[in-house]
Amino acid sequence: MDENTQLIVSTAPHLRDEDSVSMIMYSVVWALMPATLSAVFFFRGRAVAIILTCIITAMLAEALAQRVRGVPITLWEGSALVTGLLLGLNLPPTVPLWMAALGTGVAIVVGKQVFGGLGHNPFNPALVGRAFLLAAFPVYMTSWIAPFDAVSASTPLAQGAGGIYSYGHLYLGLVPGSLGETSAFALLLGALYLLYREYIDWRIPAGYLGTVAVISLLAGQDPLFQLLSGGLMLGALFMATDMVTTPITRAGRWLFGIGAGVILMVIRLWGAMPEGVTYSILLMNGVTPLLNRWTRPRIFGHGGVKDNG
Amino acid sequence: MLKLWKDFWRGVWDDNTIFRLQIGMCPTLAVTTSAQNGLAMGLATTFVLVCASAMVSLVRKLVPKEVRIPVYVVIIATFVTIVDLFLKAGFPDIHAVLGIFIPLIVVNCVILARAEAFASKMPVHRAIADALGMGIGFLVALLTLGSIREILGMGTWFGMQVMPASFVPWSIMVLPPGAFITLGFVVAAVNLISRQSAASSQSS
Amino acid sequence: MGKSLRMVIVMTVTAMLSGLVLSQAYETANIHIQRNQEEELRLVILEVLPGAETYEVLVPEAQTTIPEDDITLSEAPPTQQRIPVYRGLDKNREEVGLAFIVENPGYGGLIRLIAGVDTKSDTLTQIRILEHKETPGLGSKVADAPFREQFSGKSVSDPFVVGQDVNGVSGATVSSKAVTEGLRTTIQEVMKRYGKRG
Repeated sequence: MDENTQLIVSTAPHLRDEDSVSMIMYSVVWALMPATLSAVFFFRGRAVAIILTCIITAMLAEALAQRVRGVPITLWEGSALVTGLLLGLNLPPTVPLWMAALGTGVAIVVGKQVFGGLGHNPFNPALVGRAFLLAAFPVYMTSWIAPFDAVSASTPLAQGAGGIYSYGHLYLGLVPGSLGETSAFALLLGALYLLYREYIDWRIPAGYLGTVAVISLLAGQDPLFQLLSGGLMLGALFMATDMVTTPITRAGRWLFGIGAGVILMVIRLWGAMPEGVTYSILLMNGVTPLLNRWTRPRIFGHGGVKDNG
Repeated sequence: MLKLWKDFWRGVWDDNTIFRLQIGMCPTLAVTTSAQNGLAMGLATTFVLVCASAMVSLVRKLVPKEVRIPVYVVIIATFVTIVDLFLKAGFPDIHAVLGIFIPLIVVNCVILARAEAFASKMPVHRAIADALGMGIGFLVALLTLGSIREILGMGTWFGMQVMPASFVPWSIMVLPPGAFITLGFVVAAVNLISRQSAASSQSS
Repeated sequence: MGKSLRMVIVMTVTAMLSGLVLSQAYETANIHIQRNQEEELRLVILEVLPGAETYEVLVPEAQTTIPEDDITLSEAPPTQQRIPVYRGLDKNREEVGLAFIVENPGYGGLIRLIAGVDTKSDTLTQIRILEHKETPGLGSKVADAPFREQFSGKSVSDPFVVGQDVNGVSGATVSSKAVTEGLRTTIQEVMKRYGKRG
């Protein structure tokens, strides 16, 4: 183990600073508070139980994995807290608690720690956990209930545009769906705070949401409905903007958002599943190193292809 | 005798094809959806490995080195075809599941590798010991993966219900991603065990 | 010269020995393989013909000798040269129905299915898809109960058209049509030859 702890590998443009990591993480937690409160408001005790389970499991799994790996335990930087909270907000309100805990464990261990911990994970850990649960328990992960009363119901996306939900319902979050994804209002409120603190880049959500709107228009769908329904807002604002798993160049961020938007609409319009935010972001996470390389700015003062030609 | 044991044990543990060399991964990932499939594939491969190694070792002084690879391939393919016919005749259900992966034992690199690297230079008894070790190492790996995936993915082991009725099967485990996830964890566990045993033998 | 001769001899002997061993193994195994296939066929015939205890072969599967009353399809496409037909018998050796094998190309390859007809009421009893290469999750649904079971109880004189009397699997029109049209053409031929009222 000794030779591993002495080697700290970092790619060129990354500056590491423990203080700023925890500052960013706790800002994200604050930014997720409106969505968390709306989840608790709409889904009551279930929301509290699931979100708490995810957060506690995330912290335990992080500490345990770091202990097994023999690296310092960095629980208080808050990244496990963010992963747990995000995954909790991404789960249906009816999901059993052990399932939430299992998904969180997979998110932290398989999604993050096996790659070397925070900063080394190629995929968004919360989404890895969600994708695992979706493939393992498709029935549980796609049963929904309406807010307030625990009556089973289908999501607006499964019903299609022209269902019983108005834009107002969708905007405020009075629809069946995952705990934290329903209220666009609460999510936008939190994201505005992060944008103000400049912890997230507007280019990714703009590219993502813009592409979804354009493709919806071209395909004859209702763009506003497509934007407000499903997990798009939560994904575009809080998960496609994760610093570790998205491109570091501006052009790369545009391409990331556009690519995720195209994949999402392909899944929504022609896929077998009604929703595809998880897979669209995970797939784009996979090509992030390529996007970084492709959009690398030319070093100033060096002759480019044009000059040589 | 000790030499033979070393030849055998190297394949089972030190140079385990799956856990250590990480070769022959195609059948490993594809057919280990259940313990029975893993066992059947492991047995079929072990049989071919032992027969082919023994045969290659027997003819090692007769075969000119220029044509040794074609001769080895013919020998291996013969035994694979025998296994294929035997399974089809005796165990049609298993044959239906393993399907294309039985003929593909021909191109399992472990078999040609052991023929070329070991059996073609060693007397028959050592070639057999080596092939048995390699085959059993492969079998154990496939059986382990198949068992974990079947228990978690279906709640059964060799078709018997082993998990309580309230257990919800993790269907991802019998899907392709489950193969990779399980393999990763098992390889990690094997590394951990061997690292600890190496450390304890060093300190003692 | 001596070296290359030795190479030739070694290769030839290896190939000959291998051929010898394999032909012996094939002879031995083939008996069992055929018995397995017959047993499989027996089970599936008795499954699609409820009440049948045994069966007799009216038209065997393709073999070298062609029996006199071989059925050749008059309608295009002539993908199925012959229709294997089996007569199901109850314990008094009375006819309960006919089972026959339909082959029609679907989206990914040949779809092979067996259908049973109750000859007392001239209605289909059941169909079972034996082999198919359709897209998993889409065309493969023709083998699932919801699609398959709508044929049970259909009269042999029904039109058998997807969209009319048969509900296709959504998104898998080609596969649904392959099954339905294959049934339509073969049922008519089989009933003409072996049906009680034909």
